[in-house]
Amino acid sequence: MSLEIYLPVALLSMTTMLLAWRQPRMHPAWHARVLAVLIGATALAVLGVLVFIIMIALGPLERTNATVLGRVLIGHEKVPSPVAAVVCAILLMIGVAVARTVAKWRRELRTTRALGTGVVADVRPFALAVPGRDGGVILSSGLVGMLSRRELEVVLRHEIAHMKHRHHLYLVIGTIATRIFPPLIYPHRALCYAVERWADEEAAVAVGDRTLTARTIARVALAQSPAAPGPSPALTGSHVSRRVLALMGQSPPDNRISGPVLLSGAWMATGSAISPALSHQASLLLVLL
Amino acid sequence: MSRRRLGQLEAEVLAVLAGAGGFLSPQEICDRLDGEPAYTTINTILFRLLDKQMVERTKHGRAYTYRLTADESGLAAERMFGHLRLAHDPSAVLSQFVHGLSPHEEAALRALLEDPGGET
Repeated sequence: MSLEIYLPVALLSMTTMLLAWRQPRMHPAWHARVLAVLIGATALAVLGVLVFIIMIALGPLERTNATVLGRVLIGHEKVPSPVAAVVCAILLMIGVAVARTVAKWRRELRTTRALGTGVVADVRPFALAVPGRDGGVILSSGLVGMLSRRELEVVLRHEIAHMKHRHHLYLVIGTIATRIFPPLIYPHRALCYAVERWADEEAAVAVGDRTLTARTIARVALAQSPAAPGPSPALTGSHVSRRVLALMGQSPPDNRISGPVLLSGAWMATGSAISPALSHQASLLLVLL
Repeated sequence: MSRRRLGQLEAEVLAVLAGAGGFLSPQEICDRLDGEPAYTTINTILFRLLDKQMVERTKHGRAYTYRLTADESGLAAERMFGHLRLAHDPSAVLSQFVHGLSPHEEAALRALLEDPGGET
């Protein structure tokens, strides 16, 4: 096995981790986009490597020496079968984990869509954005009761931003990527934060008051916390105080030029990192067929 | 701007009404939304909201004007949100306004809210 097939994964993971850790001073919208591309690409590269190892293990390499494409494969020694078995097991586990996550999402969407949009009776203050054609915003009566009209507008604008920019897709990409490659949980958390910040910034622009937006988030979070003794806070690693602090500071640069440049850079970088791995596989497939 | 889903438009109408405070005519609501949605669409949404008792209306000349229901107890909240876990910790597909707080964060937030410099 030559080490070069691991190179794209290593490079992509490092770039992704770096971007998640360093939190560049840019608009959260662009940070979220770049992170989603990098996280998705890293997961794809990992999957690619796993599939590749199995293909080498299965491939009848000796017969293909003569072809041009076969030469690509000569560099790779035969994979010992225990390794191939382990990789198979890993792939299977990934498949099961992804399937279970998707099934859970479908259940949740079905229950919330059946409920319909609008206000539901519940003392806990919460707001949910349900994506999709039958989606909308669900507000709890506890939330509506504790907020002023202007504060309610902040919450609505925040949820509208989630729906408008289809933030659930970013989070779906991130979550599936962590099922494929668990270390991606760190950049995934940065992605969750960036998406929330994105919606916060849109809400602040829409209501025209950053302080009001910050205070609304803080109030809702504080009202929620005693009623939520569950195990979730530590697990979700909520970023509420960081979000509030960020809103109390200056508004972020809108990155009208540097944002798109960085995003297309990320696309090209991931494309060039993944394509050798994928073309390896494509050639292998051709040889096998 | 692409065509908005009805649910999103409904939330936008609510946001406009919440921001305005008082009564607005459907035409005024249309004018305050981006992308100039059709008047009839807005009327449909207002009817649905009226049905859910989230807005109330009054006759203003020949047309109705709408505002957010003033009395929260009047909100049609008979639909219970029974899913305990879902409200605490919805997964990726459902975006929640805020997640729970750690005790440390709670203290930090209280300090922020009580900070006289941050008063509005």
